[in-house]
Amino acid sequence: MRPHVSAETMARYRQGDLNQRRTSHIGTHLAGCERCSALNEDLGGVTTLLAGVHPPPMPEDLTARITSAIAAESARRTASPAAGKAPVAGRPPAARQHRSPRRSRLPRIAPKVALGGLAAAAAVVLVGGGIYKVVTQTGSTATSAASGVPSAAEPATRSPANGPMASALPVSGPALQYQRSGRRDSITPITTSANLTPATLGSQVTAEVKKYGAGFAKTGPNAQQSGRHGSASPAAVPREQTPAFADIPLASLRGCVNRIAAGSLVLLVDVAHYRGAPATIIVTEAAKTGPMQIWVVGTGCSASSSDVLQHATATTP
Amino acid sequence: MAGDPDAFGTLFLRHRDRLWAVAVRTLADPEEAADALQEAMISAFRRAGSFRGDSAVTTWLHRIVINACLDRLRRKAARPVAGGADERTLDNLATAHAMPDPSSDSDTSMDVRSALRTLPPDQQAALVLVDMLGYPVAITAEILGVSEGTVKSRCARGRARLLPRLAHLRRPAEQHPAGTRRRAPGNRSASGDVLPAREGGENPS
Repeated sequence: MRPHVSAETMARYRQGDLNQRRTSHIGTHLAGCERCSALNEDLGGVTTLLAGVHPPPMPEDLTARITSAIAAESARRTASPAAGKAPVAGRPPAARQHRSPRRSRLPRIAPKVALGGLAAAAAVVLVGGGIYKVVTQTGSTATSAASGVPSAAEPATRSPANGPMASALPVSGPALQYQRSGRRDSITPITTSANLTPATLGSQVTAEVKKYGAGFAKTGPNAQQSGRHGSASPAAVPREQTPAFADIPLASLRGCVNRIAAGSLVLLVDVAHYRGAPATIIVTEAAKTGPMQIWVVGTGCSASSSDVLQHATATTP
Repeated sequence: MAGDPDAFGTLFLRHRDRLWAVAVRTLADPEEAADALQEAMISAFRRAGSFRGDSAVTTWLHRIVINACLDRLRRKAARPVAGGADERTLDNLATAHAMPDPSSDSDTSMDVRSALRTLPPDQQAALVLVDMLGYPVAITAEILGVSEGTVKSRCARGRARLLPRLAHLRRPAEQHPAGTRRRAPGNRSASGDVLPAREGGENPS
């Protein structure tokens, strides 16, 4: 009997990283050696364990943070094309000593500097910037820069309108089933041409919920059951012709709403825009007495992925 | 794309889930992963002018992100952090836990990630791309800028080193039915993963 195979050799065997002669030797050896077969099996288990790691989701504010940082970088570049030494927010330009900042046209922003200096940078270079407050679910209050950066291409099918709620009537889609505290409920999604921004998120969504939200519309039956559209009477889209609603496959939208709601009552689903990019606004209410939860999700939202771009709370109207 | 923040922003939006998946798997601390991703995107934006060829833009972005992460791992290895990280990790876990997201950390995930931390950065990067994200060896080689043989041997060495550290976690009957244990690399479904299905398959370019 040949000597047993080491873990590294076995791993290389599995990876197809050995020559033909050794591969065939190990293959023969494996057929008659329980110990090495177990090792082979165990190495497969390592890959399985690695593949099963599910790290935390992307922080809600990271997309906005990075988009703002890119805009700030672009504006800095435009404002001072020759400035290789302009400090950001009063801090030295480069914290990375091993890579010369002079190699690139502009100084690297050390991440912490970029984060700390973001509000200042955005305020200097961007129009329409402001400060907004995001009340997180844990109850703490974070203040962040609202840059109003137009960040994404605008699809022809849903062009966002800036400012407060667009005057055009929303279009409603087929009812979406979702689980609410273990029971089945439904919400009728709408799509509006609203382009929400961090600064106006709370007020705009509150206005929308009042106007179109489940249980808030002034007329119609079953006001507490599901979303309706009150006197505004948006044009209904026939069910059977809409496997997708406003460019989003219904299955994804349903999965997304269920995932985000996580058993809560859903007050509003609006397929709209956020900071110029396609986004869906989902408003939920965990408890009658608590604030409503505003979730802004990207187009990647489905049953298996949240893709939360922003989360805020507001007082239920 | 060079110098156009809108176009670059769109590019970032299209790839952010994948890039986040790479960063957060390579760096243990989500906050640090966020910083690395931001740093990488600023760096990519500055260098966008020198980028050539549209087909490999994903590979290019991956390379910049993973290099930003590896820089951090190497710096950390050279100069251990003096506290703070644990607290931050706990804060982040708490936040993640508060979200309606079933993919938040489990004990097993934590153990696997801390075992991964013990490997040399090069092996970590190879295993993150090949085993955790299911990228083919050829694509991984392109991202890392090394030969396929190098990727294979880094993966093999890394797995062999992880084996004793993960022995206590192998309970295949619980979560992984026998049929799924030996999947072919790059042939894994992205169930529960943050990789968006719309990207189409496992091939990142």
